[in-house]
Amino acid sequence: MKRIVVLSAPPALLPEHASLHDPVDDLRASCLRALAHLLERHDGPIRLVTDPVQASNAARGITEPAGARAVRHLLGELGSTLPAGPEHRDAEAWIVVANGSARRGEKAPGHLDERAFAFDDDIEKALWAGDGTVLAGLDTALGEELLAEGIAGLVELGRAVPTPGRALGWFSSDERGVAWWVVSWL
Amino acid sequence: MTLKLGRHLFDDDAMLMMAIVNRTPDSFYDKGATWAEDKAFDRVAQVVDEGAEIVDIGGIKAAPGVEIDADEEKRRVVDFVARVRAAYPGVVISVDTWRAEVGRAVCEAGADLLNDAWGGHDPDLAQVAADFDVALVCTHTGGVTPRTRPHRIEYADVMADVIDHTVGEAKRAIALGVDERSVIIDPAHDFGKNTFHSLEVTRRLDEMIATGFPVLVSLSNKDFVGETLDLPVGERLTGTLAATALCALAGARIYRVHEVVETRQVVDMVATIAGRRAPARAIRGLA
Repeated sequence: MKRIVVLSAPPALLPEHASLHDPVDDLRASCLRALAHLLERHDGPIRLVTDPVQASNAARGITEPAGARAVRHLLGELGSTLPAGPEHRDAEAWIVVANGSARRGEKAPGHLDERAFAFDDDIEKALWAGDGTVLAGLDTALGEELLAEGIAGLVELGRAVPTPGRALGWFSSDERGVAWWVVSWL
Repeated sequence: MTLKLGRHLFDDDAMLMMAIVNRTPDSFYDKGATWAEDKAFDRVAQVVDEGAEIVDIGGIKAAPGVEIDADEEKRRVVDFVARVRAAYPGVVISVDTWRAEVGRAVCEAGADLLNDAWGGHDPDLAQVAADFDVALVCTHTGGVTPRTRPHRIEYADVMADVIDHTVGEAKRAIALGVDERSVIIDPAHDFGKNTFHSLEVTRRLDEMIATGFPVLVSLSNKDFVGETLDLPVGERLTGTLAATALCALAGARIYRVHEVVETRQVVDMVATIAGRRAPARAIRGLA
C-alpha cells in the first residue's frame, strides 16, 4: 500500500522567501503535520512528484522545481534524512506537489477565470474522498490554462491509487487567490 | 556584538530608535513643546507607542543660551527619569548630559545610558557609567566647549579625527570598567563640525562601523541637512531620512530622532534591501 501526501508547495515556503510574519503560516504548519504523519509511518525513499521547472524559469537558470525545493526544506525542518526525489519511482511513499487554479479572483495571480471554481472543486472533493478515478480523468490542458500546477502528477496518482484506504484532509484554502490543499492518503 | 544598555540586552543586528525628549524651554526643534513635565511624559508615551526602544531625556539645549548649572539640570531631569522608570520598565532611559554629577543622579533614578553629547568634556562621566553598570555614548566634538557652535574649525581628515577620538574614549571607558557591550560611538553631526564635515562623516560612516563599536547617529533635522537643502527647521524631514538611509546602509545601530515612525520605516527598508532583515510579509508572486 502506498502512503501519499498531496500538498501545495508555493515558493513562499522556501527559506529564502521568509518574512518576519509568515504569510503562509497555516499552509506551512499543515504541510509539516502531514509530512510528520508520513515520516512516522515510513522510513524508506520517497518519490517526489512535481511539474518540471517552468520553461521560462529554466531559461533563467532554474534547474529544480520550487515545489521540490520547498518539500525538501520542510522534510529537513522535520529532521528527515530520507532520500527524496523524482528518481525514486518505486518508492512506497509519494509526495505529490500540486495546487489548483491561480485564477480564483480579480486579485489572484492570474486574475479571474470562472472555470477555476468547478475545476478546483472536483479535485478537492476527490482528494478528500479518496477518489483516484476522478483524479485520473483530470483535464491537464485546462489545468494549464487555469495556472494550476501538478495536475499531471494528480492524474498519475489517480491511476496508481484509484482507491486508497482512507483520506485525511489537513488544509484547504484559496485565501491568496490560489487553491491550496494538504491531504494524506493512507 | 550584543548591545547591553543598562538592564536591557539587544541582539547584534537590532537597529534601535532613540527618541528625543526635551525637558527644555528652548530646544531648536520643538521650541519648548515638552518643557512642562506632563507634556514631556506625554511625549514619552507617544514615542513608546510608536516603537522607540530608547528615550533620550535632555535638560539643556545644545545651542548657546542661558547658563544652566548642574543643580538646575538635575531639577529638570532626575525626578522625570524616576517617573519614566516607574511607568516604563521595558524602555531604555538615556540622559543627554556631559556632567558626571548629573549622570550620577540620573543613574540613581534609574537611567540605563549616559549620552555624553559633548565628547568627554567631563572625564569623570565615564567612571559614573562604570560605577552604575550603564551604557555610555562616546561622541566626537573636536574638543569644543559644550554649547558652542563651530567657528572656522578645520580637520586634515575629519573621519580620522572622529575615529581617533571616539575609539580612544571608548577604550578609556572600558578600562574604567564600563562593560564592552555598553560602549557606543557617535560622530556627532554638526557638533564641532561644519556642514561639509557632517556630510563627509555621513559619507564615510562605514569607516566608523569598521571599528567594531556600535555606532549611534544623531541626524534629526540638523543644520547640515538644512544648509544642504536650504530649508529651515520644520522642513528637513526628507533630508534627514535620506541621510538616515545612508547611515542605515553603512550599519549604524542607534538613531537619535524626533520622528520615530518615519525613521523606523526608512531603517527597516534599507536593512531589508541590504539583506539584513526579512520583509514584513512578502507573498506577491510567491503564492
